[in-house]
Amino acid sequence: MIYIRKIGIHLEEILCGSFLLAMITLVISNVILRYLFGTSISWSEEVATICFVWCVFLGASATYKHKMDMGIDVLVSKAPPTLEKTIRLATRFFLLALNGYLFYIAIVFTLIAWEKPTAVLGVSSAVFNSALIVSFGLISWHSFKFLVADLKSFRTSQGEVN
Amino acid sequence: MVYLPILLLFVLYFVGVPIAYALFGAAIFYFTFFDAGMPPDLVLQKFITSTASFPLLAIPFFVMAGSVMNYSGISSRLMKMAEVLTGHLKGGMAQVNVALSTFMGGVSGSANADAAMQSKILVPQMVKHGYDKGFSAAITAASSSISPVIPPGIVLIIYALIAQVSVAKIFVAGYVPGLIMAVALMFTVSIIAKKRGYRPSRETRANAGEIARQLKESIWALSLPFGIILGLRFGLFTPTEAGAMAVLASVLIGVFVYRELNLSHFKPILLDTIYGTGTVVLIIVAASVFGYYLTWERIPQELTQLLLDFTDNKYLMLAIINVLLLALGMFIEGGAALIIVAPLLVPVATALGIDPIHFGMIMIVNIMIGGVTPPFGSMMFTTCSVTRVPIGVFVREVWPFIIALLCSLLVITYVPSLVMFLPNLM
Repeated sequence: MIYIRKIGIHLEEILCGSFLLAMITLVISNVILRYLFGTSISWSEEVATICFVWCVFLGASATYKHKMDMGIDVLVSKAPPTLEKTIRLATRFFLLALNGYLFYIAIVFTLIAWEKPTAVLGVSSAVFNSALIVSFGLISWHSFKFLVADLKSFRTSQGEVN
Repeated sequence: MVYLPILLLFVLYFVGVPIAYALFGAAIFYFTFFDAGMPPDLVLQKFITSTASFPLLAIPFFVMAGSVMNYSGISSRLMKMAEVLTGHLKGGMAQVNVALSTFMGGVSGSANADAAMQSKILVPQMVKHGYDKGFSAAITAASSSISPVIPPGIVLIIYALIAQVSVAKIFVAGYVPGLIMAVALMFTVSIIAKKRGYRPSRETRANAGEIARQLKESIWALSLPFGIILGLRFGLFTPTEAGAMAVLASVLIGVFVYRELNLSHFKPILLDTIYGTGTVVLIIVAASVFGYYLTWERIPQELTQLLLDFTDNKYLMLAIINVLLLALGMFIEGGAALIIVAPLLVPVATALGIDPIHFGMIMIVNIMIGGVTPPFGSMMFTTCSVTRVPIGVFVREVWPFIIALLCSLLVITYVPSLVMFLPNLM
């Protein structure tokens, strides 16, 4: 049970790491095959690119989860405490709305482009596009959790003031 | 009204929304609420087309190669090398700091990673040897601006992809500007060290035998970038494949030559790469989605025309662009700033006959100087937070180094033959 929970917590990192290893293996294998055996895997570039797309968007979700995205916090942290908390809450609301909306339009877009095949393998372009659904779905979930946590801390601090 | 998304971008950024999401937010706002004739769900296609590009795979590979090299014991060997070469100079440890950043350019290629590493390793040692803590933090941040300029840096690859120039040429072009910056900083260090009495960290200059021994230890780390450049130059592999081969080579060096890399390093290397890639590439995607709005409204063309109407003197234009970039670099992290403004400014430079490789070096050096400069320089924050030096103290100490870097920028901007000498040989 604990093991499954651990996988759940680190889901993005595990999947992203696997895609990363797959793409590096594919690219290196292709170089080795080309120089040692004079051949190459025709689908290698497309599969490596699919892995990359998943790796980027899952990686984005992982960095979001750990609040590692680049931004500036200095101005907000210099504001008076109540204003600071209000701005932070507003930011959380905005991020939840934005990511939720991106999650929704990712579903719409994936369904619209479902029939479009990829260039080499000829499979549905959903193999690329569904990375957006998974990633913005996860990012929306993290946004929701951050918002709830901030709301709780906001209420607690308001209670202390009163 | 057309410029409202740009205003929104700045508002979101300054209230603490991460840059990638501020860019997404402003672009999605435009395509949702303006009658642009493009449904927002179709804008999502840009998310995929800007990511599904084989050349971009070079980014995670070079991030990973840098991380593997760090865990392979290369950093400590390079530090000894820097010590042997510069420790006898006035302000020995500060000189080592600059030399190490220059060497680390071939390893980490990231200014923030370099600033964090040297803040942890070198600053405490400098303080122990009697150096002022503010001075130590300031030279660490200033010297970290050299790393991304020396190949193979991620920022160099990003610029090559945006400006559609040869990766090999932009890599080679980085050496001279990087060395000019290093010399300028070392010269400034020696003036300050003389005034404050900062002594050399070693009694005598290292002899040839000692230098040769240390060079033998570090040769693998120092020669890897040359191997990459030669491989690219002779068409042995594409930039993406070069990144993958750099990972393979650094793993082999770490395991079989230095014998320091083991399985326990696998997880942190993977995590470094995941977080590094997730952050950087998401900004690239977000900037290209935002760029879609700019192009839709023909803003780059308008900006180009506006700047060209103002002056067609390329030297004056370079001065204007330098001031604009310095200001931007003070507020936005280097890589992000480059991704946002390069597509806007490269057409201006090309229209005036400025070589895009030369212009790339100007942009990169410039934005890196912005990273050291208050109020929001990212390397300034990294160094101050790791060393716990108050920003006020840092700012007092960093000005001489910023002036030195600005002098380097002037040379890099107005003596193009210096920058273009090596790429023109290719």
